Amino acid sequence: MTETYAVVGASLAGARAVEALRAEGFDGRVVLIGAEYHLPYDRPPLSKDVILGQKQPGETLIHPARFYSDNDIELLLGVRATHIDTHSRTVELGSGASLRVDKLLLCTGTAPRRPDIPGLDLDGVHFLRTVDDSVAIRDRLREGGSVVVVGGGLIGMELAAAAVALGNDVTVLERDAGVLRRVLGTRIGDRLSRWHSERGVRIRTDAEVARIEGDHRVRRVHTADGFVADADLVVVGIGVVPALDMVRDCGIEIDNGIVVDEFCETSVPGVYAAGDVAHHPDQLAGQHIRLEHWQNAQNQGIAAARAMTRRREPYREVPWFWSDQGDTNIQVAGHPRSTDEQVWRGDPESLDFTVFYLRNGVLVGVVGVNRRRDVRMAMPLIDKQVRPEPALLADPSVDIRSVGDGAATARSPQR
Amino acid sequence: MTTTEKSENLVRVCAVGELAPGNVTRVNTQPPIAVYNIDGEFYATADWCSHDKSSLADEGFIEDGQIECGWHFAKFCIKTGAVTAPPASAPLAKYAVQVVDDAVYVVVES
Repeated sequence: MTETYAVVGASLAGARAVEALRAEGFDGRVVLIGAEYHLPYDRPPLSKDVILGQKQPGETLIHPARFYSDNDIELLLGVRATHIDTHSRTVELGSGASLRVDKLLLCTGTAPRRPDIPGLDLDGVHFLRTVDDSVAIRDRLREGGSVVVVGGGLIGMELAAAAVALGNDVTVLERDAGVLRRVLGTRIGDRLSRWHSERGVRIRTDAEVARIEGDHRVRRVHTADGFVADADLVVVGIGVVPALDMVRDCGIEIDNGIVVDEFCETSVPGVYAAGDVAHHPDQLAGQHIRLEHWQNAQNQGIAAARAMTRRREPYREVPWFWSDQGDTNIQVAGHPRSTDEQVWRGDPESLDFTVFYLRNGVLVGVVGVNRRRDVRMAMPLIDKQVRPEPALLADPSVDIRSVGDGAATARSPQR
Repeated sequence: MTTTEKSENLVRVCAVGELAPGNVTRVNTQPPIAVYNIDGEFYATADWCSHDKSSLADEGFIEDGQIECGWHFAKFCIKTGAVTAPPASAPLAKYAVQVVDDAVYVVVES
């Protein structure tokens, strides 16, 4: 009998998973279920290229439409999966229909975190997660005016850079003492904060948003300490939470996200999870973690599909992500922490440096600003958990690839 | 006016000694071409990653006969142009390479 494998989440992880199922030779029925009406698309352009009009929404698709017909993949788009019955192996759909499956992959992703403040439902208050969100924000920005970004994280600051480049008046309200500090640490975060300020982004820190006000549309944002920012558009970017509604009360273990093993399988055999929602074992971190990164969505989706087709290989990657803020490229790999020993290669005052993170002498992470290659070359060393000599890491004349094998020798600085 | 004959242009890349094994350089044709030296043999592919138009020559990373895009880590076989890792799905165009009088040339159809 023909087997049915269903993937919930028409996302990067879901699209790569169905591709991999076919690539691995699975010839049964493949069903991809997505709550949005769109074909699976890439999210990174939503906070920059799409906002700036450099990419049209259709240019962000992961596969062209014909890929799905060519590969006999059934698309159920605009359909929300609402519940799983793990005993009867049935996925219940918002349409009232249900689907009997042999194996199931959950790529339900995340949803924007909603702050508990009044005014979120006013016209002109947006979250940024979907392509529809991005297009709506893009169109509002073209009208010009005052933009308030709530949350100075990666997405918020990417959006701020795009909005100010389009000629808008932009204010970022950040709860912490500085933007980008949680993800990049104080020193790098503050350096990038200055870059944004120099381009005209107003940044207000220690700013807890109390309420958003308006009439028929949004007008202003109030902070707890009495500051008021005028607003024609508000974008809230304060992080995301895993989308777990459909997996509650069905016997699948949940802890931070959907708990999986190294083969992306949940506590219920035959049910897998991948991408932002998957709480998975990370060998380098030595614990289960959940990643909200593009790389993890792509590669874990593929790994899960392979495991479903019995090509079981443990998922093991050095976590990696990037952020483009205007023309500044930031790359992060591994698990850098602010408490690690930090070795700088390049001038911290410049926007051209790499920082290596050592924990008990072991290279555990790297952050590069406009230094993609340094980060890429450090990734295999992080994977091997090498103990490099800090002086070699700091010396720009030393090939990063050579610091891990003990073969590197410090050369005298080139003048 | 029609012609059935394609003309081929040789575009000079560099002197043989200027492109060491394990390295890649970019030729600013339209579209640009990446020329590689893999263990003393020269190869050429389209320079733009087929996924998002980054320059493979300027930002790519060569390992095991493959070029990896610096933006999203798509990989291609340098000899064949075939995709070996996502997110790319289309192969890279290949170009013929000739070595004449100690200089490297790519063959471009016009």
